[in-house]
Amino acid sequence: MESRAIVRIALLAAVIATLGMVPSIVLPIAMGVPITAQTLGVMLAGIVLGPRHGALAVLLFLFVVLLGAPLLSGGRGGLGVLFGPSVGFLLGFAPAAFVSGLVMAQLKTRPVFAAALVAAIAGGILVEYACGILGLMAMARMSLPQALAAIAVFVPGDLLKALATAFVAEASHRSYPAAIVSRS
Amino acid sequence: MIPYSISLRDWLIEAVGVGFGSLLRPLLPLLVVVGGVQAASAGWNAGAVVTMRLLAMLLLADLVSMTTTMSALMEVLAPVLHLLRPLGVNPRKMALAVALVLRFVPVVMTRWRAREEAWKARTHRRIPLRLVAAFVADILQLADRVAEALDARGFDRSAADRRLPPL
Repeated sequence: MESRAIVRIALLAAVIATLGMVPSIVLPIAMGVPITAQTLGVMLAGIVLGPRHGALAVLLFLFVVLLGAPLLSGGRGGLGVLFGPSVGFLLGFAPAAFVSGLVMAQLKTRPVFAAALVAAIAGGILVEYACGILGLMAMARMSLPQALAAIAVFVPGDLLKALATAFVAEASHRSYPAAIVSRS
Repeated sequence: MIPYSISLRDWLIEAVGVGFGSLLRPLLPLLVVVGGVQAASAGWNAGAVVTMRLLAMLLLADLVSMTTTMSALMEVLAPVLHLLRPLGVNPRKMALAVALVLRFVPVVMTRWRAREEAWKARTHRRIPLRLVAAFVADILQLADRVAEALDARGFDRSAADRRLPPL
């Protein structure tokens, strides 16, 4: 792997970490799974770096978190996060970034904004939620309808985050054309 | 492998200037809710069991994280990373990547705060998404410059050689 890829992967991992420090809102209604800006970084990682490197950025971030860095939203970190009910959302970051990157690469000929929006929704919402629901069912012993009801509150916020991601992808691509790997 | 001998929590407080209260505090509402739901649907006994099991796992895992330095954990992981070598994991590059993440977090935060301050000094309006986009482009450029600096210093010999003009 080239140094450029390694450094970019590390940078996006750090961006995901930094977004975790943006104050998050913890909703008791959804079993304490926090609303966080962190998924914004996950969507961006896939879109900017492509499927493989995007997923690697997320895995690197998770690796550092498991080593003990309190970089998750709310200042959590360490091995303990593996046993919380939001573990599905956490581990879902990697496939979410992968799918975002995949969709972005598939829509290479479309305008950046539209492609990034579809990619962010596919990865950051569809895939991320599927993993999160599985996690809630396993860790908090919820049934599928219960888990679906619990996470429904996140949908509007995540749609806004997908829009923001698409805008950021489009604008940063315009000012630095090498920004999005699949377009340069 | 990594020059950090402090625990990661101390590193974060040093590097980013963020202090954290009790580790469990952010999880308390969650434990109450999980326990409450179980107690309501399956009785107090089940609620207590679920809450205490979660608590025990969280505390045990946090104990490991709090008493172990980052370099110690990386040392434990080194043999595992070496085992992953056939899968294409290069332990040296992995160590570089981890060190880079730890370095980038304070850099990204400082740079963002500088932009935020510059914006706030000029207007009272909300920070627009435009500013975030420009920031993302800026730090991606920073990453690419760091990569060039690494190559110039011979970190990835093969990549550096490819850029040499043919004789």
